[in-house]
This record gives sequence, structure tokens and C-alpha cells, in this order.
Amino acid sequence: MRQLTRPLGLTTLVLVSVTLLLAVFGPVLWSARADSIDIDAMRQGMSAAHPFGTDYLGRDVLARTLVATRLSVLLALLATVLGAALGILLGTLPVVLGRRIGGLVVAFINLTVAFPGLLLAIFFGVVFGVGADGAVLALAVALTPNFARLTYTRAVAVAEADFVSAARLLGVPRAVVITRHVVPNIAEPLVVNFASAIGSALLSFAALSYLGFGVQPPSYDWGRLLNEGLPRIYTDPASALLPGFAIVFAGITFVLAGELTARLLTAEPPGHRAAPRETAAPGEPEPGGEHGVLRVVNLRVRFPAANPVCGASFTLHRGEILGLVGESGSGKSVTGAAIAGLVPHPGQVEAERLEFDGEPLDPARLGDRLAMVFQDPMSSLNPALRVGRQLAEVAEVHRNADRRSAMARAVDRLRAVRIRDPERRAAQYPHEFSGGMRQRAMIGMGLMGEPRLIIADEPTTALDVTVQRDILGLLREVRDTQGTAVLFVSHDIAVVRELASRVLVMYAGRIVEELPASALDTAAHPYTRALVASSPDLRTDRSLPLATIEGRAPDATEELPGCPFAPRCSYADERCHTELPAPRDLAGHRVSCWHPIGALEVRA
Amino acid sequence: MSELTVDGLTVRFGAHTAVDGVSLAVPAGSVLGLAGESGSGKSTIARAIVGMAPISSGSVRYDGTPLRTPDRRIQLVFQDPAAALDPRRSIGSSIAEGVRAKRTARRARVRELLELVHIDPARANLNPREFSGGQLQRVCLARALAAEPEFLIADEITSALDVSVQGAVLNVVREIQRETGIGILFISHNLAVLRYLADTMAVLRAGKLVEQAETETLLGAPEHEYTKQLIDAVPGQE
Amino acid sequence: MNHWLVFAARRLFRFVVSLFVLAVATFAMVHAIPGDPVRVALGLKAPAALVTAKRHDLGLDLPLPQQFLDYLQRLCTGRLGSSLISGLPVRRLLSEQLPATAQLACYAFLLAVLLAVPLGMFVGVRTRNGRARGTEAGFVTVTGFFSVIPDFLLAVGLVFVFAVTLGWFPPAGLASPVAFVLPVLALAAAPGALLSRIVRVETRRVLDAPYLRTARAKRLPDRLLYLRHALPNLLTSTLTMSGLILGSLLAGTVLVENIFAIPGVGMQLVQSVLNKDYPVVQALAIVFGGAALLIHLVVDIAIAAADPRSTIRER
Repeated sequence: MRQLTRPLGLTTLVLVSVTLLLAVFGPVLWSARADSIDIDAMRQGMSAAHPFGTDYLGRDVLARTLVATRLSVLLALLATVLGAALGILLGTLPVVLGRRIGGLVVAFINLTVAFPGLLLAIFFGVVFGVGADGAVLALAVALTPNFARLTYTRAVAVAEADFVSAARLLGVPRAVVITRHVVPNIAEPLVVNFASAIGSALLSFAALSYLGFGVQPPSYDWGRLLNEGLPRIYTDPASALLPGFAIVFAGITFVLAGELTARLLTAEPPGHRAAPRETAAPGEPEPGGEHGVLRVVNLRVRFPAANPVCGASFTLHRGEILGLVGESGSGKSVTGAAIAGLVPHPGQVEAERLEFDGEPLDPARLGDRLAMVFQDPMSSLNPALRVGRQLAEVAEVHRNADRRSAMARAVDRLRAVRIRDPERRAAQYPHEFSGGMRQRAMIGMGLMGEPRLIIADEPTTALDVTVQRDILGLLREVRDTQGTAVLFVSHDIAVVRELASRVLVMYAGRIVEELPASALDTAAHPYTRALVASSPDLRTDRSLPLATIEGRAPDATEELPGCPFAPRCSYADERCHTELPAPRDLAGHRVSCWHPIGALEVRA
Repeated sequence: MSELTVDGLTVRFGAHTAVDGVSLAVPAGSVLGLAGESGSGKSTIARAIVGMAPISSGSVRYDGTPLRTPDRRIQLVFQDPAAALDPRRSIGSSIAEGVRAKRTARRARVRELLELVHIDPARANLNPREFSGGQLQRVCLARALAAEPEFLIADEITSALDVSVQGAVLNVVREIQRETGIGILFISHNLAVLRYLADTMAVLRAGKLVEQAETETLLGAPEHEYTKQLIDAVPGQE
Repeated sequence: MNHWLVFAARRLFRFVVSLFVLAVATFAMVHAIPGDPVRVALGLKAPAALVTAKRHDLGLDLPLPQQFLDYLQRLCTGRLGSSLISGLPVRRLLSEQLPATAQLACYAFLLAVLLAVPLGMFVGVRTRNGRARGTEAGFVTVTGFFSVIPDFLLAVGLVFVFAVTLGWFPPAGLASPVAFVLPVLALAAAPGALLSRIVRVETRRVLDAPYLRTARAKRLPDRLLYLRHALPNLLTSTLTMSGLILGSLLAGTVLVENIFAIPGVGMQLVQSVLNKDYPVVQALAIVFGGAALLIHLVVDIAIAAADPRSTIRER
């Protein structure tokens, strides 16, 4: 309902009220004045008595325009109701009639949608006869295809939805499924379409009346008034412009009403606006003085409504594969994007230190020294460009290579990522590649330069296990042969364990633990422990229930004063809820927890 | 005893053969794990059993008689729980749809089912968007159980979930199976998940059945080359 | 290139079937008119002999199937009959009037597309991810306004301002090249505004696509980012929209020709409908309908040519 108090909502409400009031009371108030013939005042211009002049019988144009509101709106409404009813009927036919006859109906609907509505209305006007009744029918028929198509496409989408199948499997009768699940889920777009269809019906009706096909004298709507006034546009422009203005006014009113209905129906429940999360605990020691490929100290990413990363620090060494694990919403992908300078507007990236190759990181000057590989290899390659082209342009832009040598390099790189027949493949489009091959091409694209770092964001999540193994092998090979460091972002702890030497565990925008991959089973942070225990592997004890983590992760809009994991943690005490733990080094682990598990603390 | 048997099942979509002569048997009270990669036809088998995919040849029998769908004794749980629940109806009413009982008894049964899947019954009146993915999947399990089925087909029910909630869903499936003795066809691409739940396992590749055996046997001493490849590819093995 | 042939053959077949449906519809249109169309057209006072003669001329005294076959045959050979009112052959009317209408529609279409696509893309790039709120609000308001104003009212307004008040352009006819300005503007404004809105929305969708993130990760200059990576992916939706726009321009010409008193087929259509001159109406229905179908066909083929994946969809 908040939409109603916004400028759009208020304007629309006012306009709709004015239009409806005029439609209801206009004829009552001004009929007499509108119909009084004054032979002495025929075809007059603007005057005090007649602000917008008079028509050919000396009738007041203003009064006539106001009175015409009712008929204009009513006819438009009538045509829309009829058109919608016909359309909904026609649109449900294919669903009811079965495949063959239904297919014919669909083809017919698609054919008629191609015709402009106004032309349809004119030709149907021929059949139904000139006049208001004929025009209403003709316009209704012209509006039918749109409603039919909308009904049909929505009905098909909903009828194929899993929740409808589930209801059928439960033995719910077909009629009940339709009234209970299908109709309510179709109704919404139809209502929205209905509201805006009134607007276009009003405009079309005015056009028909203007052409002389619609309302006939002595009745009059706005289109008729325009028809009468237009020939005098040289002498008394006001009498032609006023009905025109009325038509535009009402048209805009109903279009806005349609827009408002759409927003009201699709409005999300009000989202809680975020108080910014606390940034990392102060006085945090800088991790290792060694000069790495990438050095990140207290990285934060802020959005107006959320802070997905609030204080991440780590170093990535040359030729190292570092795993970054977390669940959805933990901020792991945003961390990768922040390093590559790909955080979308209006996100703000801040860090105490962000160094790449020993110098402050400037995304604009990264060139081809940093490469990225994304999750979905299908959508990450441009579907409209040949694969070779997409690789070659990297060399053209960053190495000033000419077209030919760039393409030669692209073919060479495709060969390097073990794509067979690279010359032919380079000339193909991404959709001609298999999923695994696309991901190889993405990696090959990253190898067009001599990257110091590859950020791989869930690069195998969309792939089958056997393909995943190949891609992991390829990443390892790149690291071995070129000394490239890899930041491997994944939700899958088993994959990270296999590939990475060191692992960062991220939760609610913070790195809660940093540990060697081999030590995952003896993790110190309760969250890491639970994460490992809850994902079964081929050694899991089948006789015991799996470990679970109760509750849910805080989303990036929430602010918690203490440890973000405390509400779900069985070890949590008073302090955990109120005080944010700073990272501490414990026997090769670096953990942010007041109660790290195991004897680690004692040993440290 | 009631047994679900699939015999020589073939499903064609136009020129494409999605499932090619697959025969399976799931005895009452046991869990069959069906493994395979994308495009292997595992979901199509599930849909064909419940009548959502056209059977070109072969048969699906239950209790020895050909299955006529929809049959309330067999329920399917879908991969994406958010798509499997009507967004406009409360989860309670979605579950109640499957319960055949008078009004008060029905409400009590919905509470019972929600408790069974560890969802607070007080939240029965909320719409799906108020729940997390893992909770919704458990709601879907409760809805399937509302029909008091003898057989459950779970089609990749944990693939869309985060690891920390996947465990809870798997635990619920296991509890239900142990308590009610229901037969389950559990479909997943994840061998570790299948190993945890299944008594016997079948491996599918490009619509054809490759190997079928006791879980321990199949994973411990696979006979078929493809099964070996699949097992080798499972990440996180030292 | 084999699937291209299959594709073209299939689309052509669909086009021919649609034409046939159109022929049936226009035939049915005249026969659906209540009463005797000839009597209705000639008026109640016309002598019975004249009506009978006309009926015979038009073949209306033959059995329906025979009439339909004759009608099809006449359509195929391009004999469209002659006007009931003026007696002039419809073909001559068309050859005189069609060029003006076609010119109007084409100029308006070119203007709309050439303005809307660059504008929509520019604003889409400027306002991506909620940047430049002011530009966005201004663009949405202005294009929203113009897309709502029907072409015939805009025509009235243009005539009032530029022809009547300022006297810069002639208010009627197409006598000089300058005379095209106002009708073309009136026709192009609404579809152009609508198209630019759609291009903007599509631009923003493409800019959010993962492959554009990849292109950014490659640190390509903006020029390549938008022209090489974004633009080709806008084509499909722009082409689809363009087809609809061309179709709606056909309807627009009917009104705009009447306001500017341009002797085109649109003007002729209105006169013929009001005069109940059915042979002409029938012929014009075929012309307008055929044009709409042809646009549909051309757009389909253009989309298929522009999109490398389309050959797969056809298989």
C-alpha cells in the first residue's frame, strides 16, 4: 500500500478520481448547458460566456467536453470488458481442447496478434456497422488477441509448474486444481493488462469516433467532438484542442492506473533497511609481512541497503591455490568481484590495503594480469560472438596485437586448455560448445595474457562431476606450468579440500577461519566444523544422523553486535552475543572465535 | 509385498530418446539410489513413473498391477521447493490439500506432519516466501507424506540447497523412511548423498542403465568402467 | 546451409497459409454484413434492376463456394474489382494512393528506429545499476508522455503549433518535401518513444548479463563493451519490436492521412467504409493485412539471420 502515497500513486489516484467524478456527475451538472442551441452564438471563439467557444449550433464546447466524459469512458470500459472476456475464453481454449485443435487456436491467436488493433477494429466495424454499438464490438474483437495470448502463455506456464503437478499427484480433482492454483496465478497479469487496456481502448475509441465510425450525432463522445472541431482549427483552435486534451488526459490517467495496479500487485513486502554492519575489529595484526601476489587487509564492500563484506584480510602467494568457502550470501563472490573491480554500482569497495603484485591495486590498470572464471559457462560467454573472437580481443586490447596474430594466439590458448581441433572451434559460437568446453574456453580466455592471478568463482558448480574433475585438473596444470595463483571461490567444501592448499571460511561477510586444507577435519571454528560434518562424503558413517546447523545465516542487511555465528552456535555464551571476536593465530589456524574447538588453544 | 517395478521403460521426445529400456525394481521399505549426470534421464524416469512424461514403451507396475496415474500411493518431491509450492497459498493449506480427513482432523494432521519434518506448526499459516530453501523442501516432504504414500520419489531434492541445510533434509528423509517403512526412489547426481541413504544403487548414463547393485558393492567394487569414473571424480578423496 | 532452406520453406509456408486465412476473412467480412451489401451500398432508393445488375457483376448471385473460388482466382490474378461508387478499378486507386502511404510509413519507421535505438542505448548505459537518477526520471517521463499520446492527437497539436500558429510547415497534403515533416513526426513519435523505452530496458538487461561481466573482467574499453558485446544482443528484441511498430504505423497512417488530408490508402479506407464501398474495403483489407503479414515474415527472417542460435531452435 506504500505505493499509494508515493508521487505516482497520488497523481494516479487524483487523476482517476477526477475522471470518475466527471463521468458520474458531468452529464447531471452540464447537460442542459451542453445541449442548449444558441443560433446567435454559432461557431464562436473564446469568450467569457464560452471559455472554449461554441460549436456549429452555438452549443458550449467546454460543457459538451465535460459531459462527453461519461460516454467516452463507458464505451471504452465496455469494449475492454467484452474484449477481455472474449480473450480469456479464447486463451483458455487451447488448454482445454487438447494438443491438436489447441495448436490451431494458438496459431490463430499468434496470427491475429500481428495485426494492429485499430485496423482490426475498422474492418470489424464494416461488419458490425457504423455506430457506437458496432464500434464497441469491433474494438472488443480487436482487443481480444492480446488478452487471449496473455491468458494462454500464463496458463501454460502455470499449468506446467511443479506445484500444479504436486497437487495432481495428491489426487486433487482437475477442476479444483484449476480454480485453486491455476486461475489465481493467472489473474494478476490479466488485471494489470486490463487496467492499461482501458486506456488504449479509450484512445482507439476516440480515433474511431473521430473518423466517423464510432458515436453518431446527436450523441457525442470526445472523438466526435474532435471530428466536429478539427475543421475549424484555423479559426477557433480551442474548440478542437479541448476534446483532444480531454482524450490525452483520460488516456494518461488509465495508463498510469495500469502502471499503479502493476506495482501494487507485484510490490514486495517492505524490506528492512540496513544499519551498516560493524567493520572489522580494530588493532588486527597484518597477516604475514611476506610479499604475495595479492594482499588484502580489512576489505569492505558496502551497498546502500547491505554490507556483504565487512572486513576480510588475507594474502595470496605466488602459485598458490587458495580456497574461499562459504554458503550463499556469505560474501565470498562479492569478495572476488571486489578484487577484480567488478562490484556493481552503487557498491563501494574500501580496504586498508589492497595490493596486487606489490603495488596498490587499480582495477583500471590490471590489464590481462588478472583473469576471472565464472560459474555458468553458458551465460558467461557472449552468445552473439564467435569464441575465437572473444579470446582474441583480449590480446588486441591489452597487447596491441593485430587481428591475425591475436587470433593465432586465441587458437593456441584453446589448444593449451586442451580443446580439440582449436582452429575449427575458434570459429564457432558458444552454444556449439559443451558445458565443460565452454569453461575451458573461459580459462583459455584468462590465459590470453600471462595472468598472475585467476579468480575462479564457483567454476565447476554447474558442471557434472566428471567434467568438474577435468576443470580442476586444468586449473592445477595452469598453476604448475605458469605459476599462476588461484583464488578458488566455492560453496563445495569437498572440492576446495581437493584443490586448495589453504582455505578461507567465510560467514556473514567475515572470514571466520583460515586453515590448511588438510586440517579441515580438525577445524577450530564451530562453523567450519559443522560445515564439514554436514556434507556427506564417501566415508560418512551411515548409521548416524548428519550434523546440521540450526537456524539460518544472517543476511547482509542485519547487524549483530557479537559473533555473527553465535545465534546458531552451540558453544555460544554471553560474550559471543555481545562482542565481536578478533582473529587469532592458533597452531596454523587463524580463527575468529571466543571458544575455538579442540586443544588448539592450549597448545598455542 | 508391494514393489515398484519399472520394466523396459523407454521415453522419447521427438527424435531424442531420453530413457532407453530401463528396468528397475524397488522393494517395499527399501531405498534405491539412482545416480547419473545431467541428461542421463534420471528425472525423466521419475516423471514417467508418476505420469508426467509420456511412456513410449515398457511398463510401470506397482504391486504387480500396471500403475494408473495419478495414484496417491506414489508421491514425487521436486528439485526446486520454491517452484513446487503455490506462492499464493500458505504452506499449511498446501499440505492440507493432500490430507483426506474432516476439517479438525485435517488441521491436526497438518500439525503432525509439520512436526515430523521439524517445522514449527505455528508457522503453518505463512506463505512460502517466509521460509528458507531447506525448510521449504521439508514442507514439500510433509505435503507428499500427507497422502500417506507407500512410495516416495525424491528428484534431486537437495541440489538447490546450501550444505548446512542439506543435512537436515537428508536426516528427515532417513527418519521418515525408518519410521514409516516407506519405499523410496532417491535420485541424485551426488554419490556421497546416495551412499548415505540408499540400500541399493543404480547408475544411469545417456538413458541406459549401466550398473545396479547393493550400495556397498557398487561403490566398493564397481564393475562398469563408467561407474568407476564417476566414483573417481567425487571430490575430496585423498 | 541446409537448415536455412528448411527454415525459409517453413516460414514461407506459414506466410502462404496466413494469406489464405486472410482471404477467407476478407471474403467472410463482406458476407457477414447483415442484409444485401449491394443494396446497403447503393441505398434504398436505387432501382431493383441496377441492384440485380451489380449483384451479377460482383458474382453475388452464384452459390457461396463458387463465389469463394472465383474470389481466390481473382486475388491470384490481381483482379481486385472496381469501386461500387466511382466505378474506378481498385487497382488504379491503389496504384495512385499506395505510394504516398508507403512513403509516410517508411519515413516514420526509419525516423523512429534511428532515433530510438541510439537514444535508448545511451540512456540505458547512463542509467545502469541505478546511476543518474535524474536522467532516468526525465527520460521515463518524456517518453512515457509521447508513447501515450495517440498519433492523430499529436498531429492535431503539431498542425496547431507549426502550421497554424507559426506557419513553418504546410498543414495539409504532400505537395513538397517539407510537407512530410509534420505527418512523419506525428506518426513516429509514439512508436519511437515506446521503442526507446524498450531498448533502454533491454540494454540494462544485457548490461547485467554474465557475459558482460566477463567482458568487463577482460577490461575492455567502453566502446567495445557496448558496441561489440552489448549491441548484437539487443538486436532480437529490437527487431521484434520494430515489426510491431511497423504494423502499428500502418494503422497510424489511416488517421494521420485524414488529419493532413493526404490522398493515400488510409484516407481511401475511411471514405470507402463510410460509403460502404465493399470491393474497395475488401481490397484494402487484403493490402493492409498482407503488409502486416509480410512485415512479420521479414522480421522473423531478420531475427534468424541476426541470432547465431536461431538455427538450433528451428531443428
